[in-house]
Formats: sequence, structure tokens, C-alpha cells
Amino acid sequence: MITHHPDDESLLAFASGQLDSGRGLLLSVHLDACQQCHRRVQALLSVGGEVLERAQPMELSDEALQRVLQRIEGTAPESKARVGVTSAPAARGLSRLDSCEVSAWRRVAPGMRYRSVLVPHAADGKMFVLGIAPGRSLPKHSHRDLEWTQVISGAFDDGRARFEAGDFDATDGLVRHQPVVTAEAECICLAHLSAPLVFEGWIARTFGRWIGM
Amino acid sequence: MSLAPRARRISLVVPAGGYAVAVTTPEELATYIRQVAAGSDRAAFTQLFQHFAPRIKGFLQKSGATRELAEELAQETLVTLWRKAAQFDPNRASAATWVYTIARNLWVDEHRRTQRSPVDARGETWLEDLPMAEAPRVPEQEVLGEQRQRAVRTALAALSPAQAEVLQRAYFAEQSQSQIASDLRLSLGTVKSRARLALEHLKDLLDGTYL
Ligand SMILES: [Zn+2]
Repeated sequence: MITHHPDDESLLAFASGQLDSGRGLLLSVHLDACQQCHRRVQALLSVGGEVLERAQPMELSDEALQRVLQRIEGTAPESKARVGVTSAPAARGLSRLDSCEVSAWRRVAPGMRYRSVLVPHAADGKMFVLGIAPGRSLPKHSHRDLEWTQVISGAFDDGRARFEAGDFDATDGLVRHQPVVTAEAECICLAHLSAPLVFEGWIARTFGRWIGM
Repeated sequence: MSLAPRARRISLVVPAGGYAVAVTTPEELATYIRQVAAGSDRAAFTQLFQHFAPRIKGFLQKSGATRELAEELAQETLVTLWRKAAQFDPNRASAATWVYTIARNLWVDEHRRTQRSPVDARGETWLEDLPMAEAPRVPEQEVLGEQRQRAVRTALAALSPAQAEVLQRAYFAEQSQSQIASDLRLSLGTVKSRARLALEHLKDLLDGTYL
């Protein structure tokens, strides 16, 4: 069961199109897995629809309609085939990353591997898929800015709470944590950082350098 | 589907400083979109153009787009509406919300295209895609899009004008909260807390059913 969700402001930023592409993509992965947030985003999109309805209309150029009619001339609307037959969004996992450049898995330390993800048009920040073996922990670290994490599979506990598949987590500069993966399985997370992590200790710093943080 | 009002009585509204636009009901808009999907109906499409294109242009100009860009994206939104009309599902979203989502995605794309990036987008796939076009169908939880829209409309009307204002502005992409603050002659802190309160209030009004 999903117990950790993005906050209202993040959902509003998503619905109004104001997230950078990395965070927007990460949030989409959460929405694929989470009915509750999905429903809430639909409500916030409905607010957007209402804002559009109330927007002050601005006249288009004289030939605008003609130009649009010309562009659709001779083309029929696409058939419906694609709609509704896609796999259940929850089962999609990381297929959202299809439009990104994703590296092969790279081992960084025993029990720790990652794939870097280059998101088209990402303004700032780094995105990667992280795999941590059962029972392993990520080096203790704090954040200069913001880290968003979406758990794809497995689970971890960082001393604040337990995060399972489908859960979303946001940590800011105030959080200093050490996620520990539970014993059952490898934990796969999609993570987005908008500023470098600050690792403590030599091994941790090496790890940070490896994955380019 | 034959309920479409063929010869409609057209009423006009002339907003202050704006120009006259036809008033079309949400039901009519939904019907037009279905007519486009089912029969490539250009007359229905023209009605949709007349309703939405000027609003999209106005909306985007508020969001910081130049007149030229707003005009271009308004046209692009309507072309996309034509192409994707079969994806419109009134059970998931009202016509206005669906069109808003298309315009939003085009605007986001446009915005990102102008940013430097090490990777080019592949094809025209939207990264975030239309979230509701591919939503899982869960009949027992399903809410009619138009029903939700009415609830949202009623809730928005119940907000204080000040709260409605900051919430509305949150949708105009380019307006940072500090911009809103200086426009409204308020402190940044006031704008932030007002936006938060507006959202809280909206949640209460929607009674946890939708938000
Ligand atoms: Zn959620």
C-alpha cells in the first residue's frame, strides 16, 4: 500500500505545468502507480480547465481559422485503437523512461548499482535509477537542496519511515538520513536531485564522485 | 449522439476590453468533440475553434507567452484536438479540462524546447503525456468528468475573490509567486500562505471526493 505521497503544492505545480522535466517525469511515475494522487491531479487539472474557461478571450488573427482548417484538411482524427489497451499503468514501472537516455547498470560499491538517466530538456538536476541490495544502506548524507525519490520495487527505511514500492519521498536541506534497504529484496528507486548530495566520510565521497554528484 | 444542437441560438458575451465570444455549454462542447472524432465534422470543429482558441490565446498571454506564440499554440492546440479527438472521454474529463491539458502540454514542451539540454526529445512524445488519457479504468471509483467539473466550478465560486485570484494565477505558468506578490501589492509571504489556504479551502469544499 502506498502511504507516502507528494504534497499539494507539488501536485499543483505538476497540474499547472510548472515542474522541470526531470521532476515532472518522476511525478508521472508516481501517478502511474497511485490512484489517489492521480485522482487529485485530475481535480487540479479540472481547476485548470475552469481557469481556461474564465480566461479573457483574445481575438485571433483573421486567417487563423482558415489556416487551421487547411492543416486538418484531408486528415481524419486518429483512431481510438491506442487508448485503453496499454498495460495497467501500475505495471509500467520504468517505461516512462523510454524517451530518456538511460545508461547500463554500473556498479559503484558492493551491493550498489545505478543507471544514469538523461532527461530531454531537463533544466537542472540529476536523475538516476538506484539499485541497493537487501540489507545494504546508502551512505549517510544530507542535501543542499531537494531530492525526490520514487520507489519502484523493494523497500527501505531511513529512520523516519518505511518506504515501499509506489511510495514517493521528498527531502530538503534539513533532512540528514541514511536509507537502509530491508532484507527481502533489492530496492530499486528512481531519484531526482536538484542539488548535489553532501556525503560524509571517504567511501561516501567516493560514491558521490562515481555517480557524479 | 444526435442530440447535437444543429441550429443553435448563439448568445454573445462581450467582456470588458475583450471581444465577443459565443457562449457554448459544456455539454455542447463535449458533443462537438465526439462529432469530430466520429465523423471528421468540420462544422463542429469550427464551433470548438471559436470557443477555445481565443481563450487559449488569452490564457497563454497571461502566462507570459508573446502574442505571436500564444496565437501559434492556440492554433496548434486545436490541430491536436482534431487529431486526438477519439481520446476524449467525457467520463474522465470535461471538454474544457481536456483542452486545457493539451494546451498545457504544448506550452510545457515549448518552454522546455528553449532550454539548453544535453539530450534532444525523441519524437513528439510528451514526457508526461496526457495523464488522464491513459488512466486506469476503475468503474466503481469512476467519476464523470463533467460532474467533477461542476463540483470544481462550484467550489471555486465559493472561494473568496482573493483566494480565487491567487489560485487562478498559480496556473499562469510564467508568474512566479514574487511576480504575483508585486502585481497584487502583497508580501511574498502573504501570497504563499494565501495560495496554501486557497488550496486547503478548495479541498474542504470538494469534500475529499475529488481532491
Ligand atoms: Zn500518491
